[in-house]
Amino acid sequence: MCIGLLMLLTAAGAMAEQAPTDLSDFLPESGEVAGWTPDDAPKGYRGDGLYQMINGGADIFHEYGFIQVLRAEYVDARGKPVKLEIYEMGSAAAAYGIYTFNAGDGGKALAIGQEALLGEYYLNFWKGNLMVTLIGLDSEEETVQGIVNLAKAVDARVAKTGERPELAALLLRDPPAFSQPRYIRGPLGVMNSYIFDTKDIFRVREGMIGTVGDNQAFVFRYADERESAEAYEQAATQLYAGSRFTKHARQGNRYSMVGRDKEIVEIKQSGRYIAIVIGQDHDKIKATSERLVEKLKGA
Amino acid sequence: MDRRDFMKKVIGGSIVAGSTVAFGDYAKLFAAPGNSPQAYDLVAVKGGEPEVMFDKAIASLGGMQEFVPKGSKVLVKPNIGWDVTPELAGNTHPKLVGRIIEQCLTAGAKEVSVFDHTCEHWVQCYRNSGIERAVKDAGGKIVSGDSEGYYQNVAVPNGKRLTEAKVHQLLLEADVFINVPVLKHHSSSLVTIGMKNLMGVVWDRAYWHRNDLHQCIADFASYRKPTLTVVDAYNVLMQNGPRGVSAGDVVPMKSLIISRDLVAADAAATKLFGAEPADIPYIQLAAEMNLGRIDLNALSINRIKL
Repeated sequence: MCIGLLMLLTAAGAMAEQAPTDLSDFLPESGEVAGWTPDDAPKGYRGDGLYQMINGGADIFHEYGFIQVLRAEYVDARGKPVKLEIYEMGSAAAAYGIYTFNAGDGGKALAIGQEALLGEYYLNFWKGNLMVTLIGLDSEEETVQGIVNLAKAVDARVAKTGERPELAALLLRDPPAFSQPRYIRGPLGVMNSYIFDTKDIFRVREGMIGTVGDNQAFVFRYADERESAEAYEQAATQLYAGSRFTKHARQGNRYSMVGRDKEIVEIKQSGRYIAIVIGQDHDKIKATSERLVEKLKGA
Repeated sequence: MDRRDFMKKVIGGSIVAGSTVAFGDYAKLFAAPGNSPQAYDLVAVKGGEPEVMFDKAIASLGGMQEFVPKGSKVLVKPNIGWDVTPELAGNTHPKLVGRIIEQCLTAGAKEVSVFDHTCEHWVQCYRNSGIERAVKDAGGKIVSGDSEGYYQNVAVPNGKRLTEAKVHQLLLEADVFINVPVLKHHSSSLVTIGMKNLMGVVWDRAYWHRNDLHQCIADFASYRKPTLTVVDAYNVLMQNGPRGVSAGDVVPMKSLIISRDLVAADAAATKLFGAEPADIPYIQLAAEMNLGRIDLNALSINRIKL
């Protein structure tokens, strides 16, 4: 009976998770943000419909796990528009991931949602399983203030929060392993930072990318050590066979090579992880790699 | 040093790991001045305003009259996909589009039309990109690409994955087709140039993304070869494409590439971006389908520095 009740509750929970969210609940209404009023009816896209909205820009959203988006527009008395897009992702981890991908590297951190970055004319934040983007047409003060105020209004309407993915929490735990972190969910995320190959040779399903000084660092996480070792073997074989890199050297679970622009690439397989550091200075790369592996051992 | 500082530093010649791409071939593409009167396969111009670079490039190919017969209908297809201003480099530069139209009309074109199947709201894209104004000022006709009714189903007989597509009627009616992409980063295909810009003449693009995007891009290039491909690399969005996040992602390259060979134009632009044509599967696939040449060493290139 207990098992039956548990199954029923689990099923009910799953159904609750799958219930479509009405994203229009999060849109500020007319008069809610001083000086800004909704312009035209908001437009929503679900699943593959995202291709209609942003064409090829949709692929990376799907890699993270996209459910739906609602796009609305607000205008001020000057007639200047701000676009507001609310993306519902499959999980808080996915929302965090696409936020790190979409927000870019620079900008000013703001206390909106669970994390927010404001660029010249562009603000992104994530909260729960939502990633919210606001885009103005210029960086005039009134536009930027409007973007911030609209973002705060959306934030106030979203009650649900979520956790950053475990891998991000581990690597960014004080002291953080690297800066400018991007949480990725697949090969497009990798290829947008560095091209090891045009194929998914590392079989990446989850990872973090960031910088350590002048070095770039990648950590890929796998289900277990066996899967990580297999991915390492496949990648090592493909990299050695390809023409993209030279000066290949392998010692067990450590592989190094040199890229087209003389950058040194060091790959280390350790436990359920693969850590990669790219840079110019061998000693710095080695030190970064060792620190990363130590941090991962604490997982 | 953040990634933007890094890009600016790298463009000056130093390479540090960690970028999306590296720029080793940037200088090489423009290294040797060319002044031979031979028929060039490709012209690469650097150092001028978009319209000035185009004038130089087209002159070195014999002038626009070589491509635009008197009384012809011309379709100019820029990238107008995004509701952003020209300095953010998400779209083709309006000055370039305007000058191409002027040159077509001067050569005797009966009509020059411009459209794109935009990603964001077409009215705003057309207006805020500056392209609508540039087209009207130059005497061209700006046309919507926003309704499925404008598109007709066509066969793509040489396609491997893409065997049919809904294509804008303007392409079907055009005697001359001038493809004017902007060179920029793209999160799906790494870089978007000429072949990828052709997606903007098609209605049903979701199919491409779900059925081997790179092969579909190469397949569609076999449907109709542009008369000319003019790559706008005046300002280049180096990361966070296709829409862009910040002006800090844009590197002013002040360059332009023009060729009858769509694949060669893409290959050269890829080098300019700092990547290798082999890094971009659709370019490699198109070359394998004999749609154009990828080996730049085998081409006759006129390199013009202004």
